[in-house]
Amino acid sequence: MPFIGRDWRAYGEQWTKTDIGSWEQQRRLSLTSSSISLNSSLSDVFNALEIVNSVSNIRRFNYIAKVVQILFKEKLGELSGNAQRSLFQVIERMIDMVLKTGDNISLMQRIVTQFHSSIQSAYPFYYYIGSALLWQRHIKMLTRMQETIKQVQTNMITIDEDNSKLTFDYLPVDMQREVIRRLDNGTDIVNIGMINSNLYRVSQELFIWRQLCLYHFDGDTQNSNNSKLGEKILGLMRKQQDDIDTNNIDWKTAYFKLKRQHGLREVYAEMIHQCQLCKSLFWQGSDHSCPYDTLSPSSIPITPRKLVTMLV
Amino acid sequence: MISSVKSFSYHQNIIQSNKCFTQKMSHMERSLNLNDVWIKVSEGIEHIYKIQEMSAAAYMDLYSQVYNYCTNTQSHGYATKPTIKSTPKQGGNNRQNNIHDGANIVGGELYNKLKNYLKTYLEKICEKGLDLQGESVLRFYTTNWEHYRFSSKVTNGFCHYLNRHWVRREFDSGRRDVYEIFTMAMEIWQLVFFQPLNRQVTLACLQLIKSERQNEVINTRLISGVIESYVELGFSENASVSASNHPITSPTLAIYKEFFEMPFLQDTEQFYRLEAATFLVHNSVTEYLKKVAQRLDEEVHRVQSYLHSSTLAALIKKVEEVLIRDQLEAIYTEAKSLLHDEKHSDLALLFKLVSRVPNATVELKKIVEDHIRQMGIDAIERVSGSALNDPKLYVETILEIHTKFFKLVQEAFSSEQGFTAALDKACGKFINNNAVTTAAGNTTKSPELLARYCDTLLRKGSKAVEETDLEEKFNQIMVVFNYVEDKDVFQKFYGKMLAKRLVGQLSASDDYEESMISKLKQACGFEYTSKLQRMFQDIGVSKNLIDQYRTYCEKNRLDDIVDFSVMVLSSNSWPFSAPPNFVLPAELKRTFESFTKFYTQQHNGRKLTWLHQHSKGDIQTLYTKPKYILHVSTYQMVVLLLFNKFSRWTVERMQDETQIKVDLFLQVLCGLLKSKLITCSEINDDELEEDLKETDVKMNYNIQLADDFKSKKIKINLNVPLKSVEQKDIEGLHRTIDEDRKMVIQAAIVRTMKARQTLKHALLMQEVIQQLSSRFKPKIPVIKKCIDILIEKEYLERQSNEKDVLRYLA
Amino acid sequence: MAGHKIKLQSSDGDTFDVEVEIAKQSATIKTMLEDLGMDEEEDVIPLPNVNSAILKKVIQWATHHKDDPPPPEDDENREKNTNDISSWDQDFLKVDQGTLFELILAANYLDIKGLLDVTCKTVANMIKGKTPEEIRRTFNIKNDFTPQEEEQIKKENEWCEEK
Repeated sequence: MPFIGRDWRAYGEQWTKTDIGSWEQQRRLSLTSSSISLNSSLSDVFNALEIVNSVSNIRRFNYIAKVVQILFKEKLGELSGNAQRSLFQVIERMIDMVLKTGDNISLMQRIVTQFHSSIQSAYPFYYYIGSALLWQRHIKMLTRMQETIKQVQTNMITIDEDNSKLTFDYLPVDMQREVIRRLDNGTDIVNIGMINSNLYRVSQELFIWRQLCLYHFDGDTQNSNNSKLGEKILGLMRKQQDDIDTNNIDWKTAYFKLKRQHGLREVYAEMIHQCQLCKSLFWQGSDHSCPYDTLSPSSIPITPRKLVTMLV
Repeated sequence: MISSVKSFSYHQNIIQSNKCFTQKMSHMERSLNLNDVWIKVSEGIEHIYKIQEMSAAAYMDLYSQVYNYCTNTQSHGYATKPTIKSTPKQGGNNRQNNIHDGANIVGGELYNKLKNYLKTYLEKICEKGLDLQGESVLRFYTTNWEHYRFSSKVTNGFCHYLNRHWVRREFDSGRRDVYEIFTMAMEIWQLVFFQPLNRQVTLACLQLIKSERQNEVINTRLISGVIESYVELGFSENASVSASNHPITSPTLAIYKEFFEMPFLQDTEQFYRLEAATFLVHNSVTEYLKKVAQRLDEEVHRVQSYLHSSTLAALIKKVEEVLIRDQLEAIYTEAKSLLHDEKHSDLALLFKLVSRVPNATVELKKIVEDHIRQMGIDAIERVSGSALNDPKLYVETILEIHTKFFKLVQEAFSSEQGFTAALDKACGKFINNNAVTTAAGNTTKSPELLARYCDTLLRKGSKAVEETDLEEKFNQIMVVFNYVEDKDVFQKFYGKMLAKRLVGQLSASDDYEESMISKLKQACGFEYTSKLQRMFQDIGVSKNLIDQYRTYCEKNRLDDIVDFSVMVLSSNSWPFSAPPNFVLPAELKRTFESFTKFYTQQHNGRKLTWLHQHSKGDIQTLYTKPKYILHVSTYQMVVLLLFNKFSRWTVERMQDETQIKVDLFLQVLCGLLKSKLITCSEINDDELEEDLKETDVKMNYNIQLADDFKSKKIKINLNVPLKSVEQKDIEGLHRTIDEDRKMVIQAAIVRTMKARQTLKHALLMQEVIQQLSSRFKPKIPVIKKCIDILIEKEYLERQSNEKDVLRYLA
Repeated sequence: MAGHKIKLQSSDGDTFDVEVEIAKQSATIKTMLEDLGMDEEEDVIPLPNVNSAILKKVIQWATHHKDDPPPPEDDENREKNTNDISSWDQDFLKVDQGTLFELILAANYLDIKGLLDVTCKTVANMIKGKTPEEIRRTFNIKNDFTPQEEEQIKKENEWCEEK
């Protein structure tokens, strides 16, 4: 499987707007369109797709996090030493990113903890990942990472005691609502409600939850499991409860019930795509120099899981 | 819209607290007093509704007032602690309640204040218009509308924050009586201004429109203003709440339809009903139709220039109903006279208008059809005396009618399908049923005459020489042919005459023959012409055959054979049958036997039957000076050759010797007597000059060769067709047609039943008629008879329990 | 039309010359211009709720985004995709919390949908995956619940996460 790339847009590079309004990257490194064969190693692929650099791009972060999770949860035994090193490299960069922005800390914590227990569970079958030495090195590294994150968590918020500054709490309710409706996970909304009484009120608002339900469980999602459900499931739920009032659905309850039943919709800001013509992989937002570019190019998104099955 | 304006006198208090309007501070003094805000907002609104110019600063100040009021007072409602329910499982039974919590009440207060303000404001203005009528009420209504609408747009603009958040949220929470500010303003207008005034306003509009219909010039702007307002007042809440960006209301035409369009259509109906009645008293229908066309154009223009486009269809329909549909009787009568007078352009207009009314052209088509049919019948009637025996006259008369009305259908009815069909129907009727066919006593006269006409064209010496001319004539024949019901009759006659042309070598040209056959093939399919084509092939094959035979004769030194040529025709394809036997003279016998021997050698198992009635030969008189050459038929030859044996014969002996059937023999003899090659002592010259009949020749009369025969020509053609034979041929043809048809019908019945197994009697009839329609129109009794025959032959049986159901027996 | 400018005045009195097309990304300004039919007016548009520093930022943002295509219809779904922030916007929003919230207010006041979207997403990202206590610390919010109330809310929400 060839990966051809020239313009792997990655965060951290300088972007300039061209005369015609499109975007151009100030090239720092140019990958020659070397094709990587199907046998190429995971680390080669990671390099070609600039996975490590892409971590610092918030649009790509979640996608990569998912790929990493699948890799160490399910494919650890199949990864070569080199591949494992690549994986660690990515995780390290992710931690860097989290340290810098403060976002996604808990996700990162979860990843590292899970990774730690995955490796731990290999004991005493070291050969599972390579050697006892390697095992020990991994454990050490992950423990260090866990500590780093913990520390960040405690120190994370250098509390700004400057009272003259505007804070979230003092935003008009309309704006608090605007923020909350951008959360795609009900747990986050519940947590906001536990902060103080004002936010509790906002977090209980009916239509926030209704919208959340529609988003996750109503029709045209990329997650094919959920497609064309929505109202039908709601109908099912109504049957279960005796006192049905279409105008008075408890959307919060509905959300959590549906979540348990169907899982949440997974959405990534940017995904890796595969060109339908030349089969090369590339980040959605970037160009790939397709050798068949005379034809109208078309590509399909590759889910993290699919990417992993392609790679390992 | 109105952006013009007078002096700017609005004083605004921009300065207020915005100097260092940090959010934190404003938070401290959270609740802005509604009254303070309202004072400023209402001043602004007053200014706006006076249509006075407004500066950007004033506008932004108003916007900020609303914004600050909404954003800063909002959290106020949350200041009190939430009541947390004790039952943990049920996430929020009281969630419904928070629709009306503090924040919402605050937005609602401003909304209601605005609403009340607009209401009071409009009520005051409206009073002044209550007593107005006619144009003045229109002027009053439209002027105020335009001002109000414009001002409400601006108000909607500076209240946009309210729209975006408070209104939106009320809507999302299920409330349905709250609209965006502009829509709310429309709601108020409808309540305060529209409801008390709409009767007068609509009435005034209708009066103006009536004046315009009576050719007065009116100020259409007054009407279009009203229409715009009626349209804008119609809105309905959207039921769907799924998407939060979904607009709250969507426009409908409900108000416009109910309060303008309906009365307008009623008015229109009244107006035109009266106009139609009065106009027709003083004018012809054709004049009336011109007026109608003009009125329709006017109404279209009216909708385009100042009504809502959705009215067009309903309005035009109404006008059509009143002016056309309800006058159809008069229009149909006019159509008849226009047809009679051949006024094509008037008819075209009439047609155009009538076709606007659903189903109205049905009657018109019928009128056209009847007219054409009658004209056809009349035309043929006029010539029927001679046309019975003059195929050319007959066919050309038909064509004349067809051409004339084809043009009519083209010019007046734009060759519309239904009218082309009417033409076809009419032609079909008068061609198959007219004075000539009645005179002939059967409907098959038309195909017969048509086939004869073909024959005259295709025969050697036809007068239509020009090739293109002929081709054109063929096409015309095909036009008539397509209308002929009994295509099988045509086929029979055509075949018969083609056979004669081929056998007698009378065809003008093979190319013409082929061209005509291919046209028939196109019209009726391969099967229809297959026999004709095979006849053609036989002629070609025969030519080769004769060449081979000549070589054969040379090889076998058969040099004493008479110069001889022959056509071998397959009995299936040719409409000929074997003649009765007679004794061949010795002079010919050798030749016939020799050829038969040659042919059976080549084609073992085939049987040759000699068609003497179609044969001919030349004989030379050796006893005269000069020696004449006589073209004679075989029968004549046989008779004449008798005189090689004896120079005198009695009639009886001659017949006995030749064995030719008596009546035929006498005909031949008469012919020869008339030619004066032979004489009869018992018949004098006078009798000969007069019409000699076969019955005049008695069996004991003596016949001898006329030694003193004289003629101006050396070559004499005695081979003229015998009348009686021809007559019998035609009768025979009709008989075979009936027989053939029975076979075809039976075949169709068997075919159908084999496919269906069981079928109702009536349905079978239908199916058979339909199947055969391209060849002829089978008569019902004949089909019934055929079914009976098939039952007898045990192809079918009647179902025992249901008598009208037939079953196929394999 | 291109290059035609209008004057925007901040709450602290500074005036900014801005191209009309850029300023019209603010629906508030756009509506006002349409309502008042202002074209060639020399009028200054005062924005009493936005100070110079923030207005400058807003203009910077709007200038950068002036040629953006209009957002697609399904932004209902896009608004939850909080990672969907362009790198330029990410860099642009690397500001202290106070500024971030002021930008939200300004975007709301001026009705600039795109800016409101990225700023709210940025704040949402700061909330994601955190415990209530972590959120409180992130935003420096005081807990005003009594222990009983807090216990009650916890109980109320317990069932949400049970498997």
